[in-house]
Amino acid sequence: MNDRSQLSDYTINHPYKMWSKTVLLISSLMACLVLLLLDVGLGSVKIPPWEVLKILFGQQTDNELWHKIIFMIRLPKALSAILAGSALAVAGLQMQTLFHNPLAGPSVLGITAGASLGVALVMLSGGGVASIYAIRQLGVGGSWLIVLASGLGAGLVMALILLMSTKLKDNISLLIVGIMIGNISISIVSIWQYFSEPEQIQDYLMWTFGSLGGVTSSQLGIFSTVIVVGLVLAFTSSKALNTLLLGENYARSLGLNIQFTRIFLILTTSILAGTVTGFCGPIAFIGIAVPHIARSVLGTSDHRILMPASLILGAMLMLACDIIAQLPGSQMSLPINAITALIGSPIVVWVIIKSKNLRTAF
Amino acid sequence: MTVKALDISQLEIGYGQQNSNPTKVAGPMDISMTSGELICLLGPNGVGKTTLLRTLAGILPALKGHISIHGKNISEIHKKTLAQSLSVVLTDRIGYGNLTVYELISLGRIPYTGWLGNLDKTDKEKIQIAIAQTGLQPLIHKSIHQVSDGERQKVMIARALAQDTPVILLDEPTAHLDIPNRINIIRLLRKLAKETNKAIILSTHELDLALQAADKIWLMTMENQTFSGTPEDLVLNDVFGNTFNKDGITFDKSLGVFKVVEYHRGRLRITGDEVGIFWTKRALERLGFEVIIGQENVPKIHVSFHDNSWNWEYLINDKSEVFHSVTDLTQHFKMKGGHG
Repeated sequence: MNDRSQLSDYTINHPYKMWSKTVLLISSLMACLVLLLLDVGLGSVKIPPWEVLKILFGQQTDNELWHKIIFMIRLPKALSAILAGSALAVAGLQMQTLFHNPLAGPSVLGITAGASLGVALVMLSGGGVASIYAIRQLGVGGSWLIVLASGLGAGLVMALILLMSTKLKDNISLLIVGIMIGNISISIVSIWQYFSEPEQIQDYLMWTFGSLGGVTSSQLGIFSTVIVVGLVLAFTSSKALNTLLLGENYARSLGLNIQFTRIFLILTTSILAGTVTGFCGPIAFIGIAVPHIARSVLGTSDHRILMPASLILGAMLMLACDIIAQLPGSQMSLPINAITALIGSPIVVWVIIKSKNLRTAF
Repeated sequence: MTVKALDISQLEIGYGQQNSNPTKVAGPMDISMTSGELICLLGPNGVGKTTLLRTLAGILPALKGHISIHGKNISEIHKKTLAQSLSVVLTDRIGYGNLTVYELISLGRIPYTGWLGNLDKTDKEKIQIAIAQTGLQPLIHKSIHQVSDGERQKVMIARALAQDTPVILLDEPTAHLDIPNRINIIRLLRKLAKETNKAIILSTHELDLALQAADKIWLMTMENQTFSGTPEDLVLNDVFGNTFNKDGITFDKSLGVFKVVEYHRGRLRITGDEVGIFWTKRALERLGFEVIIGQENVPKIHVSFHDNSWNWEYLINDKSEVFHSVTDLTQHFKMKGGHG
């Protein structure tokens, strides 16, 4: 009898009851929408909030320029923020669990560094008249050439890591190899910079600041398609990630194919992080911070919950950073890469102090 | 003949199977067990107990030979199906995350759940059975970091039970636990083997517990032999003693324990009160005396208890001396070398 009462007690007290999950999901999606509207509404050109809503809902407006600003510039930028934020957060979550390491993030495998190397190759190879022409013609951030170059760089490093992962039995070795490959890429870029013209270095530096505004409406289609595919793939890894919480030996004893899982996780992370880096430049911090915030706020390690939570939180944080980067009310805007760290780091410190259990999560 | 729960034939275990020159740890060995048995895997440090368990669990590939569970060769079973016939409790420290006890136990259902890992009615029932069998109900909402070492070990056992497999392997489940917890865990495993008819193998260094609780002992020796038998047979045939006898450490067959001390101070005889003899003998043995109970012509101590006090009379060379506590008695021998 006693057992029975204990059982019913359990069902009442379970921390993830259906309604609270739904409420959390809906309220966070609402918050996300509010941030999206704010991001679209604010900018160097003042557009009244009412007009913004009217334009967004497809009504006629007197000011053609406002219409253009919102649909050609602000909306693509805000959507890029959502895509980049969610992709980086989910990729970071995957890497932290795969490596059992709180400092892991999407850049840990050297993918981002590989992308940077690809971009540096194009921008700093001074003789390449074609590349200079393409950059001047299309703008630095949004150039297909840059996207292609960074994609190739990221893909090259990913291929190298995948090759290594078949040789290396344990994940810690793989982590170290990933970091080292990243370091090699960065130092090749440094050497290249050393021998380059100042103007070229400036172009490259501008790229490393990161930019959400570089994605044009025509690129947004491909950007969003790839990210959505990557996110869906990432979601299917939730069960495998939960299994990995027990460590590799237990995971193996539960029938998990470790080799396949590892390759799958590297592949999805590369797709997500590589694509974001290609379109927006190297955006630091979001990938490391958001999974911690999600774990701490929700108090769970269940990836079936952490995946959607990281996705939404990543999008929210990125939108917030973008709003702040525009310095509302002023004509200036700051580089997004600086803002993500500037805003995000204190949040993580606050989360750690508040919860005191970051260490125990690993 | 019944089908064995676990059958090992010509098995060689070790590391680096894919290399041209693998390191063999032990084997070839031929052993088997039936359902409902509790087996204790014993052997000196470094003999390959963990390697054997990991090989049986399919975590390490076997170098040679066959392992079969209920007549099926494990190398021919799909990984996921194997996970439904064999579960493990390892010594690995785990990145538990923010898991609650319940969440951790429910991870045992992974071989049965769908692509997202959602639990259905059967899964929840199995989890509840595992919780009930291990008596963990009061803890299920606690974070895994809030429970004691003994409780955590039980949680890991419950996780293996939730996996609902006919064979469970445990690598040193009693390590780092205090004596009540050790006994608790062993008792639980015995009960599970009997009540659920599971085949349970655990490696341990608790020789005395193994001798008491195991249906059979698998004994791995440094000479690369593997013995299997009831604890009593292994003791009576001296297999047990010979495996661990080294560097002057001896196994006392009559008591079933290893002697901690060496005798270097000669022999003493004790007579008198039975309880008094037992405790006095221990104290004297600790000092290095070989203590005899029978008739022999060696110095004698007579223990007696009357008027609510203990008395020790020490007789040597027709002289006698009386002590009123073991402390005084041992103090006497500590002051002088040999027989005082």
